[in-house]
Amino acid sequence: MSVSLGALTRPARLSRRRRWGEAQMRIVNEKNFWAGVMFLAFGLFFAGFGGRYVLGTAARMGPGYFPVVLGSLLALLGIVIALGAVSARAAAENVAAFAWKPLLLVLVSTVLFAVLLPALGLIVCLCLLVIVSSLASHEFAWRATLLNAAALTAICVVVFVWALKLQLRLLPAFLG
Amino acid sequence: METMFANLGVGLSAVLAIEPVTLLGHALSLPMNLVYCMIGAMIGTLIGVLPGLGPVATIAMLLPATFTLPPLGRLIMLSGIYYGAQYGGSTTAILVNLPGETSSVVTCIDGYQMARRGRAGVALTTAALGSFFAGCVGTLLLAAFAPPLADLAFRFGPAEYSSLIVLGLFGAVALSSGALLKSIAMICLGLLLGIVGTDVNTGVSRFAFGIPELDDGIGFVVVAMGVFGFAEVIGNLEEKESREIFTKAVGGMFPSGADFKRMIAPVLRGTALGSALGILPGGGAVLASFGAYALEKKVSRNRAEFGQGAIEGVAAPESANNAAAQTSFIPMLTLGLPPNAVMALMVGAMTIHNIQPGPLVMSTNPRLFWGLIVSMWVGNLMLVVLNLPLIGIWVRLLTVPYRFLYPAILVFCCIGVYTVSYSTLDVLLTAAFGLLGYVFVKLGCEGAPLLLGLVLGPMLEEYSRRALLLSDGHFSVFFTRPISLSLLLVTAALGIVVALPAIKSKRQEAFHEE
Amino acid sequence: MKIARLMLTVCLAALAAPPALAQTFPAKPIKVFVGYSPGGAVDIVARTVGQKLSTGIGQPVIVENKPGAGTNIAVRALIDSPPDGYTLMLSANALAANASLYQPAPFDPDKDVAPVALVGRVPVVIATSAGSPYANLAALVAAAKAAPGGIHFATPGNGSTPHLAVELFARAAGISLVHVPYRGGSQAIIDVIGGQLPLVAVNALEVLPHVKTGKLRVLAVMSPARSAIMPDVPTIAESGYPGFEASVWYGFIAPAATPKPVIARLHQEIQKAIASQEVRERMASVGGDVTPGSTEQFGALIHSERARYEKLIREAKLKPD
Repeated sequence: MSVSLGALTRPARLSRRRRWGEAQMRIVNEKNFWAGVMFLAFGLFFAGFGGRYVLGTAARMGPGYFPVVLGSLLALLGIVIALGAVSARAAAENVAAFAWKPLLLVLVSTVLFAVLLPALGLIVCLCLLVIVSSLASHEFAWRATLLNAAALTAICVVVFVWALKLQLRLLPAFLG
Repeated sequence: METMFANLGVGLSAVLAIEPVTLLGHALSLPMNLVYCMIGAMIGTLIGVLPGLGPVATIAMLLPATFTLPPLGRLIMLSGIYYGAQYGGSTTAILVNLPGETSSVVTCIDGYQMARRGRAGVALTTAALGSFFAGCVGTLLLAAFAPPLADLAFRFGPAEYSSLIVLGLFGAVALSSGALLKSIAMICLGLLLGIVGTDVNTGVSRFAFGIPELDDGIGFVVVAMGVFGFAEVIGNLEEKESREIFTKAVGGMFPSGADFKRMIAPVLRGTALGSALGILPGGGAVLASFGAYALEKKVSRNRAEFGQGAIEGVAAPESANNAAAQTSFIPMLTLGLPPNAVMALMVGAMTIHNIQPGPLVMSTNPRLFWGLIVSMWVGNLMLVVLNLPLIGIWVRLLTVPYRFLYPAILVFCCIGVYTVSYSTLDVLLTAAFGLLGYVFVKLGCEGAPLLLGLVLGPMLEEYSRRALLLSDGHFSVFFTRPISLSLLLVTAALGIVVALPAIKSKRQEAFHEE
Repeated sequence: MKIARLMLTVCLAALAAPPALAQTFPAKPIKVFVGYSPGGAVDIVARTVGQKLSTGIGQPVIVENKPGAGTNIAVRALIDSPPDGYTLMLSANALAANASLYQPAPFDPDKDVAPVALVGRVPVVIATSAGSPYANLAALVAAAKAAPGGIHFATPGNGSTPHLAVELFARAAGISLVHVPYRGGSQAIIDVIGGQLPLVAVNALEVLPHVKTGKLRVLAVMSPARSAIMPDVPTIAESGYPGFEASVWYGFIAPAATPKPVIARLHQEIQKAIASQEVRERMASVGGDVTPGSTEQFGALIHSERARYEKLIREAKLKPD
């Protein structure tokens, strides 16, 4: 991910004057660059929505004061970090590729658990959670997964519902 | 001195008192208080291990069940749950990077790295021994110096608290092994996330966007499970090759002689810091563990190892948070003023028995007061005795193939988060923070500063605004009050110490350039 | 025709069921929501009364804490619960105040919930630290008039009963005090004892232990008659401001559609529980008293409180919104 203007033809070490003159835009440190962008986004979000609340003064801070001040600080930090990542003096670091399959499977399994728990009860949802999340492993095998699901569900029922007496619905709503 | 020993004697006899009890139809005479202590400690350890469920919820649940117990027995059991949970929280922090308690977050950093290098047993033992030592010291302080220490808590007004928190946040920057600016940014982000919810000073609901569950803010458990637990799991699943997450070459359980030598100073420092900070209402235990870690990182000879499994990184925060847990009883017992939610429950438990906690308890109910104190020491002893053998079992757990282990982690996280307030939203938020945590890992941002900011942010805002309200808007209040001033001076010194190496290296670079 | 008959039978059976239900009620444990964290005053009252109640009805009474949003979360949970009498809530004044305090109103206390029984009330007190210069309420008022906006008072939170009570009082006395809200009474009391600010207004229950040890001095108690626990403390009426009764009251409520016979049965059992020695002593020991009364009286109280708060909040423009 680099946007350079003939960087290949120039010597690696440039003096400071020439570097600024050339205005190269090479994202040397990808991690920091995107971290900076993320911080900038968060900062703008909080400062922006924070402005909807009464700001007050430093002496009598309103509810909007901290969000706006901190949000602006965060945005500023984001910019500084991102700029630092663009400077050629930065250590080159690349962002490793996202592992989409495990990421999505883990998240989807959790979302399913959360959304379906009131309707389908603990037993069904735990099995669902284990099975769907197990799909994310490259060593997935149906039999082992089902056994794991059964074992974990049993443990949870014993520990959480029977021993700790937590109020969790065990069976689907239409059954009981 | 003699009176203290006499008092401890009274306490010991109360704890060891034999009472008749019927068990399974047999009439027995047992030291029932010891039994309650053990039950409490075991339950506490269990819930500490389980993510989400914390001592507050458990004590609240068990309170009615304890109605049938005599007052001392019930207090002993409830206290056991409280400090037992601290032990349990460290266990999951070390084993699977899940902080069971707010104050176990720091233990994750080095503890989990130790586990991945096959030193889980050593880490767990270190945590147990450090906590035991700290618990003993804390109990002694409680016995000997309770009233004067309680008075200390009064000297801390809102201005002092905000300065203390600022110091704590600066110290958190020292926590990070990575880039300075990114850590500061993470703290800021944590502070901002902590602002979500109802503003205590004006009652305005901020960043809740109409969702009532968000009115109380984003829970610590939600963020911790997501950023630490989920992100770690997803990260580990990336590996395409069959690489073991935890090395099979598990070393011995017990720390070696060299390990012991390295542990001593951190444990002492952590205990001192934890004992002091535990007395202060609010985030005493959290500040203690973060502060102990940061301090250790600055003064330790092996500071380069921090973040890769340095034993000091486990010993110091664990001692600190246990010492803080013990000394947090001080304001409750001596003044009847609970410094945190768990103590509030204890006050409730005592009140229901018509015992008003406060200075009067010492004189009107010496058996109760001293019995409770002695039981804390006994409880700490029991925890070490109970937990050390368990360590072998925990370590064996890690040898389970990861493809079975990680769904278990997810299961316990989900249930744990859900049962905090039976809220679907919480679990969904955990997933969202899991995604965010994964992004953080990819971008090289650390989670611990974020969590610290999350916990301390609302407090910082609350206290600083209140300080300004009380001083009618004069900022000088932070500098004219002696304790506040000294705290800010230490902060400034810390800031210089942190910035100095960075400035030096930049200057050197520039020097080389020209 | 057959279907219509069947449906008619079912309807009649359903109509006949509630009285039958009331006879066998309760058949399983009863849940009581509390809108505050465990350990606080409401929680203690709920557990104490709940314990007595469970012996009376033969089923456990389980207290479930649902703190947050000034008890709105707990009320919302109650409204969403099945109206079968197995889910109740022990609420306090927030029930009446929140409808006006929060915009838009999170619920309607007259329509969305049904009163079951009032349990008791604990008066609000205005207390000061032991070393403060205010010997009595008159001294405070005089000092406040001399330095408007210069005296701070602590309360357990924005829109809490003590907060509103002091606002009411201040307007009547023609003084202005600066409100410093805290999260709950404990921290407020700590700061007043520590001398960070001179006044605290909370309910008597939380202040009592410190009065006993001399750390706090109560200037006035906002109940109609002098408190039995603090007989030396004048009431707010005696100090020159009649009509300023402000108590924190506690009462059981249920979802609005709960059948009347079930409510009647619950009311009966609750009255028995609060008439018991233990509960009376408990309430008295925390400076309050038990207030037996009918369901209708409780309903009327909620209604009148709501009107009172509505007026106050509108006039003083108070807003957690």
